[in-house]
Amino acid sequence: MNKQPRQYTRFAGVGFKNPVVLASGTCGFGRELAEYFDIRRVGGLSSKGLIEHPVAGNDGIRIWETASGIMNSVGLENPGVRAFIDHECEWINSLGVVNIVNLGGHSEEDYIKGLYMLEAGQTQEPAAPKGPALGAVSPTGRPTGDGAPSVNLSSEQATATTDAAVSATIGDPTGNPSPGQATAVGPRFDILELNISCPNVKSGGMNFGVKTEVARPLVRACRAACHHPMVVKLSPNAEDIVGLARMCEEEGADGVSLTNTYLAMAIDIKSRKPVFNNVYAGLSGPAIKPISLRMTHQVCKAVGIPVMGLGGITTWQDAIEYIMAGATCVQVGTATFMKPDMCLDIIDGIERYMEENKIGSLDEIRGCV
Amino acid sequence: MGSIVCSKVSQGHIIENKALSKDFYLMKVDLGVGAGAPIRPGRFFMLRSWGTEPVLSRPISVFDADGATVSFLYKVVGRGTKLFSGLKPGDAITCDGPHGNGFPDNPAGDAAGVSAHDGTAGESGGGTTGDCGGDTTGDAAGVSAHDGKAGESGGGTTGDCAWDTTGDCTGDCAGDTTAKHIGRTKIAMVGGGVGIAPFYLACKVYRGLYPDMRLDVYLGFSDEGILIKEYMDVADKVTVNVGGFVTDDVDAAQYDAILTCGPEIMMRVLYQKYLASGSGAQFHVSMENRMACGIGACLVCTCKNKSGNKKACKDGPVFPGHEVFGFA
Repeated sequence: MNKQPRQYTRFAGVGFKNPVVLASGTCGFGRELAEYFDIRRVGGLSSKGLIEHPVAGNDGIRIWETASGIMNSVGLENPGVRAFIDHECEWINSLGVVNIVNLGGHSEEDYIKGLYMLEAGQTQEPAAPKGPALGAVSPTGRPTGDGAPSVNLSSEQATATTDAAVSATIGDPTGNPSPGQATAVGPRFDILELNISCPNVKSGGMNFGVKTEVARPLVRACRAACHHPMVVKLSPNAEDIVGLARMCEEEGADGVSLTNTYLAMAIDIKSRKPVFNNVYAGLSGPAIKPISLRMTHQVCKAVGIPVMGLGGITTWQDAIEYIMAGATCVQVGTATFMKPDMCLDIIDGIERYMEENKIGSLDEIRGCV
Repeated sequence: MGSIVCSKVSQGHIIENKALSKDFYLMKVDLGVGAGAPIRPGRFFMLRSWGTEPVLSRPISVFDADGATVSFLYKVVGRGTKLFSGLKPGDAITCDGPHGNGFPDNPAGDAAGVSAHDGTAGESGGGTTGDCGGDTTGDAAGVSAHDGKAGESGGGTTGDCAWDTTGDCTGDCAGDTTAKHIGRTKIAMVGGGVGIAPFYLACKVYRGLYPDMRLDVYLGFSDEGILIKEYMDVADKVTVNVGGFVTDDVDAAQYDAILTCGPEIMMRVLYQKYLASGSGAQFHVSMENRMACGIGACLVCTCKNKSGNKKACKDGPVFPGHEVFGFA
């Protein structure tokens, strides 16, 4: 296993051996990819998007190829948080990569129930969330060099009592990420990635993450229930993605990741019907990279919390672009379908680039544009 | 792109890539490795002969394999298969596989009284599979891998123009042309379009495992038959249907096992016919779903089966018929 201290990256108090993270939905829980390559070399792994309860997902066609991209309509198929805790979470921990749990929901209640399971290891009524551990929103050992973020605690959060003492995860600067945080009874993981791009059943299926003020109460409630570093994954379909990111910072998120997929469409001209049963589906891949890069740049300029950039990253050059735009970490998704170990090509490419250009730390180029 | 070091991925080279008809090609690939474990019929490879565009590799089922080489039957339906059709001997192709669960070692199961494992079965590991082929993933034109028309082109000239050149019965089962007879297991393999692919290797494998097994192959095509001579060489009986419904040619009641791969409508009709016949045969279906990763990570090829969601690429593509067609 290669040690790559040169690429060591801290994000929201968590140490990554390198900034490359496998994106949610494209790597399952890592088991299949681990049969192809040494998955321990990646910086982090964001789990298949979980919901509190198992979801069967959409009917009909779920994947469609486009020019330099793919559209997917999986419909949040997942085994549920309980199954993740029982069968997958420790496996990811055993890899020594940063364990990022991606959580979604169709209602605020789903999110809160899921968070309770993740934090307490058991189902609890969402009516009585006790508030966050302050340590989680204000970890010691904040990453340096990425803007020294200030975290605005809402009064609700600031006065919340701590019922599960959680100290922030501090990575081991030698390159091995720390094993994550342990709550009294919940599973061990490092970061919660909150997927707010799910359709909200209460607003006719509109994605939570389109309107900042629709997303705010959700982010606030999740912040209160989440004792781990929390990253909010933003939708590029947001009306104002910069405003959305600022809101996340205001509500105490430890970081944001962007972008999720773009709402898109394909029509079968033979049947004269949409390809997807849901009519619209999410576009990803190289086709979206320039747009997601632009959004990442805008958000990095606007917020103090660290950013994970993603959207079409296929080569190491793409990753460097995102880092130069200000991203602290990068996520690789669709490219994994081109080549299961594309993430390693990217890690190795970044390493060569740093060596050739005598770059000692990615901080030297991060946000240089 | 750097090469991947993994036993599943071979940097293969084209040995031969020939057009069989307007759209169908047979491509033989040198995997560049020594003879590996035998490949079970019905398994598939994710094939790729380009860089990052098109995005997805193409799941193509194995037509034939001898350890060092693998042959693929494919139909040009989209950008990926179009690129395959232009490959010349010596050209590189990345072969990731074999994947999935193929047809069982003993398709008739214990009911048929055939010993299930006679040595070779051990290779299995789990394996099995095969997608039935074609450009199931990202064909931009939206054409399904199996040529799709075999089942739908209804009006055609049905007729069961069976090319039954071998006769109903070969050698040892003299005269008994109808019902199953004691001691000899009868298997029907029903393929539509590019879905015929897995049955060539299936015949060879089953012949090796069970020399007495009766192997009947039914090939359905929308406009032009291909590889008929090749199937005749490995099967006891080959029935070809061009332009009609190959399912009309199958008498489900006389078989101990029925294996099918092709357009879903064709397989569904066959399953209904099988149910109606009261046949006690084992029924195995190779599902074709569009795939992305091909290894079970992305959940885009999910089949909603009787027992819950199944991954066509990993749990399948071969499933018991009652799992996929036995409800809803």
